[in-house]
Amino acid sequence: MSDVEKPDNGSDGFSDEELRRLDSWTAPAPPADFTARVMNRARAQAAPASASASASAKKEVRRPPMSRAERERRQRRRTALATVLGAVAVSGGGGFVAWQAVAAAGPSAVGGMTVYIGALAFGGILLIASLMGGHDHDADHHVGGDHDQLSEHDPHDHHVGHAARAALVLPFLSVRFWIFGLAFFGLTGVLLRGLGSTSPLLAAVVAAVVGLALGYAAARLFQKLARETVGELAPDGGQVGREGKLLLPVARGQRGKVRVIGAGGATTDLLAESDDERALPAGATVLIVAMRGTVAVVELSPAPSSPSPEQGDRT
Amino acid sequence: MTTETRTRGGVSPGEQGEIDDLTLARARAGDDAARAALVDRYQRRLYALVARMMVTRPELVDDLAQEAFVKVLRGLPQFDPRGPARLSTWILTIAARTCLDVLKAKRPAAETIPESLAAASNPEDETAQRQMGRRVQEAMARLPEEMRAVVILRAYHDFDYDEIAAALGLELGTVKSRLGRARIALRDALEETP
Repeated sequence: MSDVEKPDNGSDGFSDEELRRLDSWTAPAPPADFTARVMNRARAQAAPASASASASAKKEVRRPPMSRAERERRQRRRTALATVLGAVAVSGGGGFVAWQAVAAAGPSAVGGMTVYIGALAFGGILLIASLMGGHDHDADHHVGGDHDQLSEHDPHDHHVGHAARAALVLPFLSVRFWIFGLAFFGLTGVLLRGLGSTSPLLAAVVAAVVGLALGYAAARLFQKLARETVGELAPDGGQVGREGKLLLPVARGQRGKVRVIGAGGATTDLLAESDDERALPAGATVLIVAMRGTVAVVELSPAPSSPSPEQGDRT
Repeated sequence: MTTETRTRGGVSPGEQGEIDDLTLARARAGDDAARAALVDRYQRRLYALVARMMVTRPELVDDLAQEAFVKVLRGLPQFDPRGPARLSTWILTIAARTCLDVLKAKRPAAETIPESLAAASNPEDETAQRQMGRRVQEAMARLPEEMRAVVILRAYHDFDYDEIAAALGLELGTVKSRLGRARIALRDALEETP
């Protein structure tokens, strides 16, 4: 029999006699160059995923795919932080001007500017708080739900129209919109009223327009930065090897949709297809084995099983 | 070309353990040398599994074994070393599923014993051990692929029932019933042949 003695486990186990018979069937060993051929094949199959990246990425195909993505993501984060810092500086400057204006105009001017000063102070404090918190995943992500590459990249999908409309509306639902909007509304109002060059009504209208416009612009800017950061993961192959859950079933010749949970809990939805003969049902855990453009090639994930406690290292 | 081994699951006792944690961590991080070491460590087990699973399609063994390892290497960063599954179980699960997918996709119109098996069967030239091995091989080739997979994972790779159920996506009861039916079929096949 074999190296491992096994007892007769009853009706569903193998007896020693049965195992002795089974063990007489010898298995071939792999050829001597098997490992080398596996490694070559793995490299060859990994190369197309990298090669499908953008033209600039092609020049750096030898680099680890994520390192470039990570570098660019950090660059965008620095840009975003610089934007926030700039906004804080402007708010601070505006506050100083307001203080000077109030001092020059006297206490009577304070009553008319209370709303603007309050908005500027509130918006400025929130800006500083968001800067200190340093979280990139602000309300733009959460309110809008998931990054949906399905709607961004598949022109035939009906999600596109919804996504376009949502993209226009979402900034108004963003906390960032309100922070920037309030800060710039207050700043504009303080400047106009403090300098005493406009009527109260005109100052209010201009301040509101400026606050809305800059708040909207800031929210859209951060939304765009976030989307670009996610979008580059696919061509870089960053999704390959990740596990996801099928939202829509996949079968040969029928595309579905997979949701991938990445670092930090951010989710990404991708079109999915499979070369598997089996249909993969919605809810199945799948492994992304390759990217074809923006479409994830998935197969049923080899989910880790649970060895029984009494099972030792028998293999 | 290939040589044959007579040890359990196609591996000698010294090759049956798991790869060390450091090499695994390096392999998961993409280190080529560590990945090659991992392939080296598990190749005999995986190759033996694939060879037995593909007993009716021996011409596909080498290609499928490679493909299974490529899948393993791709999915390696997702393997959790602190999880409940041993690395060998995870690897062999991938290999078994790869084989089943191909067997189901390329199922012949009727289950037949490959000519290579039948032609090589010449009892007078073989020892009793080799004869028995040949008969087991033929009996295995007659089993439906799902049943064969259960038997191979259980008998040659020491998967327990839960592991087989997870690996093949079956209910525990289904695993046991298939194993029971496979035992009967194997016993009948081995007893009816001389």
